[in-house]
Amino acid sequence: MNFSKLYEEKLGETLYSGKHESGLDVFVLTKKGFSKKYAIYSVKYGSVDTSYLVKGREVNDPMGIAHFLEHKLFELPGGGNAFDLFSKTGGNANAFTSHDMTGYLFSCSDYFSENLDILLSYVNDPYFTVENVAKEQGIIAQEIKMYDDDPEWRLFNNALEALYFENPVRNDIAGTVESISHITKDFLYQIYDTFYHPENMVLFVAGDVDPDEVARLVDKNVKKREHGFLVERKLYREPDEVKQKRIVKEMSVSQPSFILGFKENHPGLTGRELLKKNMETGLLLKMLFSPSASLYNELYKKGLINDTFGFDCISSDSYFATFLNSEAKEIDRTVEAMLSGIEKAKNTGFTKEEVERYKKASLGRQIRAFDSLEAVSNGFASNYFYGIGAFDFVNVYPEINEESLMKRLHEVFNEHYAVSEMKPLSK
Amino acid sequence: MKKISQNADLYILPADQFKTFSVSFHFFTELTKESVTKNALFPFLLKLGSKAYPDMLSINQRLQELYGGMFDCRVAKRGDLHAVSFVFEFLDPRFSDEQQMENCLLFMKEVLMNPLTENGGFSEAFVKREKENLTDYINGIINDKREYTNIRLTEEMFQGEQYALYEYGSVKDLEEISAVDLYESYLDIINTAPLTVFISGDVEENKFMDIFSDLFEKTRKPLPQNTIYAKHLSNPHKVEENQNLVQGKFALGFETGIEPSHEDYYALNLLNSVFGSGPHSKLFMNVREKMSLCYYVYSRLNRMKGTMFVGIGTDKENFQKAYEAILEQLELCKKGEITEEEIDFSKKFIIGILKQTGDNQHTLTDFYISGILAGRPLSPEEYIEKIEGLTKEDIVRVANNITLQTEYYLS
Repeated sequence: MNFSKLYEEKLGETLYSGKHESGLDVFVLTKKGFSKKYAIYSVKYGSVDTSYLVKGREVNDPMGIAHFLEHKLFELPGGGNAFDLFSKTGGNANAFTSHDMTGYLFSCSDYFSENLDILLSYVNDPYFTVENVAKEQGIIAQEIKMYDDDPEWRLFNNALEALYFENPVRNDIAGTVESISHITKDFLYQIYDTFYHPENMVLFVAGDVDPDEVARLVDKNVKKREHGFLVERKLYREPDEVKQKRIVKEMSVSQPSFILGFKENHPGLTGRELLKKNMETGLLLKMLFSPSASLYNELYKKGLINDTFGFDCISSDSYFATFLNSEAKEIDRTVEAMLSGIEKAKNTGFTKEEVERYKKASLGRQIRAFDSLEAVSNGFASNYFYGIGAFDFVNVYPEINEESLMKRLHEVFNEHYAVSEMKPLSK
Repeated sequence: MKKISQNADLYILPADQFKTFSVSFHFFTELTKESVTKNALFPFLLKLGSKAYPDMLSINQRLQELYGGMFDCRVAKRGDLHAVSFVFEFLDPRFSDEQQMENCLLFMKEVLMNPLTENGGFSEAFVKREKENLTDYINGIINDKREYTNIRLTEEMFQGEQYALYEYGSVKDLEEISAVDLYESYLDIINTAPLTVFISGDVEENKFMDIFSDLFEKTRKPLPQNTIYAKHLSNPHKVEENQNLVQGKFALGFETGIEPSHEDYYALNLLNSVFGSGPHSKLFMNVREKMSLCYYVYSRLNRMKGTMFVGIGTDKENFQKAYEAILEQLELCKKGEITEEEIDFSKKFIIGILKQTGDNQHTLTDFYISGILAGRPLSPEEYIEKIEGLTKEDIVRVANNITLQTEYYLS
């Protein structure tokens, strides 16, 4: 496998990239001076992939199956699990499932080759039995119940439920206790063969490592498949409107809190276009709702938001949503103040000086993020599947200006919003 | 390490692999009912305004001009000490401009040493707002059920002792505190509390010392003394609370009998990993993987207080079963039913983490502070040697000191 080398001067970072004969893309970010080595092996298969076409035939799977598969992949043929192997080589292993991907990862300081060998080998060698599936149903049921008691998670999931009619992003990543009860070992094998295809996966390694050693281990563990990747994904075309304007839940919490979520439709958006929209959204959120913004300061001073305030945005080729959240004693008053602050910004616009200051600060933060191997690697692993490269953001900054931000402001903060509320249990 | 003056230390952690330089100031004071709430509140006022940057907006806009710098404050319990920390992170001059270092040092000095005041106190408006904010924060403990269980267990286990105090103080005490009281607390901490400063990244030491000379010329008090437990409850006690949760949670508090500076602490660290820290641990392998009782179960040590907590989330009807399974795994450790493999895995687990300590500026700082306060300021390399030298006998010896003291059940 041949690597090409890319050096980005503004970041002082070097990235090696190569395509393996199996179709797997491999990236190595070389980090001198770090003891830690980090690797993430990801598949573009997440909780939203429950309904799709294989050779023209429609398949519908139970909610939560991607997450279930993530748990089960750790099982090794003949008993035992991958954690045992990592324990021998001092690797700290983990995995996670999000809406649109699953990542398997480890960090280590010594025995990098052995650890990477374990990662590539266990992910490429599934082993499911009736017994180990049943055992996992118990463990995951406890994980689901743990999230049921987590007010922040419930609030967020309710916001997605309110925004979307059909898009499976509205379903809980782990599914429900009921939905996972339908999962069998045959189901898992079928899913594995369908989605865990080298063309649908990526390997990203960061640390002081030799790219050729990474290539050797990929050669050893990843085999070319007889057929290409056959899945045809559904592009969900959602109505512009939200499903529900308001959704309320009561739990044992200290005071009311809410998420104000905005829904947009950009079906099929990928690559640099998607990256630019993401970056502009991030900048706008900071320009309105960070401590360096006057609107935020006003909301904070008036006690309409508190330190729990935060914002977020989720995006893919089939959904784009932006969220503002905080505790608030009177949710309606706070939401109204936010909406009127946004309208005011639409009328007044931004100055060039202001935009440049935000760009400078954001770029500085993004450069510093390269100090964290995990943050860079995980971010890249999820962007990769939308055709976004690790250093692309550097070249997008110059394309962002007052006009593009103003246009984006109107897109993001449109009239299609919903409020998810969490209230203390009524006495 | 460098002793700058009486009870003020500067640690310079050389590192050129980072794009960030970070500076953190840690002041230590005794954890007392009288001072805890004030010391938890005043640091947040520094984030709202200084004389040169008189509001939150101007402080944060200045941070933006400094290429997206970060200024934060934290308070924590470290045994019977209350640690008040100010943490700064900035983009390295190599990626910004030549003035960056000096500009950032001057900014730090301004926000730390020159807060906005009126009538001999902090701004009344800021104080009023931050009291509300802290009230929300303290009341919000209940929202994170897992952490709530640990906080409540701590309160129960250390009833009547200063360690039972919550690091952010109490809502009741907040009412009484005035803007002048808070300013006095600030002056007391800044001028007299023992201080440790950590610098990581490419910071010019002389420039730093010049700018912060005021801070280092003060006469500072010695570190207050710490006790591991002031009293022992001979009968384990048990507390139950109902919040209509979907999943039950409980936490068990154990005494280990090991002082923070004792040589046996390293063996205790290893025992903790064999027993309940990491996916190779007895708790994970048995209570989760074999018995399928939970998604999370872990044990964690509190070095400064000589305790070990076990936490688990499981259905209420399985409480008894899980309780017995946890104690059974501890019993196996006490009897020496520990394989060479378990010891090997646990050593590798701990050493792996220690080796990566230097890759994160905050982790490294935190590692040193723990060692300093425990009276054993080892480097990660020295700590690794301690772990490597341990045997099964060491683990069994410390395991046999461990006794269950308090149980906290939430459902």
